[in-house]
Amino acid sequence: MERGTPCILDGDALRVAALDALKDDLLATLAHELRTPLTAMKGARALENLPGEAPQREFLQLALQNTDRLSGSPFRWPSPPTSPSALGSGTGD
Amino acid sequence: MSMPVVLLAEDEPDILRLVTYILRREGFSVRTATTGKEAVDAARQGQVDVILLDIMLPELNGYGVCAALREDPLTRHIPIVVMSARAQAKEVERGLEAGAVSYITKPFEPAHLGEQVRAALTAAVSGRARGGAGDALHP
Repeated sequence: MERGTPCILDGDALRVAALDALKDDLLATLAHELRTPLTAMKGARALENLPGEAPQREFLQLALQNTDRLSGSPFRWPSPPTSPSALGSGTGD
Repeated sequence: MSMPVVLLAEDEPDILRLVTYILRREGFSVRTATTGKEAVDAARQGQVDVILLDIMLPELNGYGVCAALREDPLTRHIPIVVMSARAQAKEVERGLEAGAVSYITKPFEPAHLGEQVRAALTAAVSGRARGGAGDALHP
């Protein structure tokens, strides 16, 4: 190995791979929790513009429920930090 | 001519209702499954022309469903369209490698959904007519 070449040991590579998998899982969960209610809201909004037969009240209710879902349980957004000191403390709630 | 049958595999009740409504309005007959295992069983029972498949399904995820259907001679010809919230490029690639012919990310455009499902069906039919397994439609 040339002098100065970074050396990643097997254990490090495994840890990096495990962290990468965790990151992917987190992103997939976030995407699911965000995009699923958005899909319902967007779909309900599109049906609202259809002439005639769309059961508008039903899909309006569906859109409203998904608005609630985005803003509440089971996925809870962290509250923004209330002070500069909280930014570094990890206590955003 | 009879209506093409879509098997919709989706575990989110609101999306299930919405997509069912949209597809029926577009002239499809819709059967539904809410788990991966149900989707595989329904496809094996026959009379399914195209599958619209979520990835994050209980019991067996969408990748597992693709694998099971691609291994089975009874179902390997059925085109699969993935419809998922997983939108990263490597996830799209994984879906297509698993055997989907196209990949729709949520939130999708409701006005285009019927057209996208119909395109998958048409590509599969023309692919079979040429003796192949169907064409992949790139997202």
